[in-house]
Amino acid sequence: MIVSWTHTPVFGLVLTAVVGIFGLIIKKRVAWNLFNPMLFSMLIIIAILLGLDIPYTEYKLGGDYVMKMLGPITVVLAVPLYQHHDKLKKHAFAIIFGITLGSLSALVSVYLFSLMSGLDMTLLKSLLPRSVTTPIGIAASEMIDGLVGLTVLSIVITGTFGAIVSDWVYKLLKVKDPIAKGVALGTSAHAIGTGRAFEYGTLEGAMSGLSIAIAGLATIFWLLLFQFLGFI
Amino acid sequence: MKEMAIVFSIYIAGELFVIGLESDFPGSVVGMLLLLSLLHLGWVKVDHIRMVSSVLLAYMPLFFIPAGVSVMVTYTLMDGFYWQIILITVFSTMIVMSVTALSVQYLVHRERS
Repeated sequence: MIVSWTHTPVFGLVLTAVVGIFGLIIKKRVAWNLFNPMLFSMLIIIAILLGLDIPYTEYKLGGDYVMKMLGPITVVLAVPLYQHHDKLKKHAFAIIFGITLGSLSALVSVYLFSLMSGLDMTLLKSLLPRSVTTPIGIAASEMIDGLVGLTVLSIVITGTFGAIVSDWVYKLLKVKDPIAKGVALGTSAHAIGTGRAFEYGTLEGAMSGLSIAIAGLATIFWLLLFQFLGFI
Repeated sequence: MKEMAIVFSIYIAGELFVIGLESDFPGSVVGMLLLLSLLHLGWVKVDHIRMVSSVLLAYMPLFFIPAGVSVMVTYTLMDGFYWQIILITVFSTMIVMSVTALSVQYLVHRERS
């Protein structure tokens, strides 16, 4: 009876919307910055599906419609980048070079650590795009045939951990420049890092925000090079 | 509605572009570059898409949920590698942060002096 309407896309759509909005409301209510509404909603939905014995394939019917919106979302990531482009101009070379190098260090470190830990190619590929913003990370994971779910999880861990350790890393390495702090948070920890960067100051926040789209682009280009060279 | 139409046409243009090239490159990222160019050229103004872009960006986490839920069918592939995955993610994140911060700081200082 409960399950009779789960065979339609409406089920996945409604479940995602209801639990997702619930997650966003909780995010507004709790004082804990690192609360992740996406991770929270994801776990609740998995629990509901397992609890009511509803197969994933039935949730996926509607879930796939939700995922179709990731394309337009990626397109509008251009808006924050454009709005901050005046701040980019002055040190454009330093910022773009730093992001491009940082994105390469993400791929190289994940690649080497994965080989050292004995991960297979599928897991390795799923982890490669983990430092970029989720919509671009999902697109990148699909491009190189990774497991999209693992990519999303590793992106969340990356962002949360990056926001936690930034203070410590910057102290240890004597990073004092606000531009460097912001760009590094955006490149290594995407939107979650940007939330942290805004706590340092508006310049750091803006720098972090504009780095997100550039880091996504740089990562896609490096991945294409990795593919071309036969690494993946 | 008009705002949605602009964003969707740009997205579809991006997708068609990569289909035309028979490339694996994500069409959405081509769309992002296209919108960035149109904004710079002044052919599209931020005001033309202000509503739709702010709504999409504000509710962005909602749209990641189904991709995340898919781990319930793929998690078995991670069996025996949970700690490795977490450690790789953690160490790599610190490396990216350090490499980016140090290179940007060095170059910004050099540009200033």
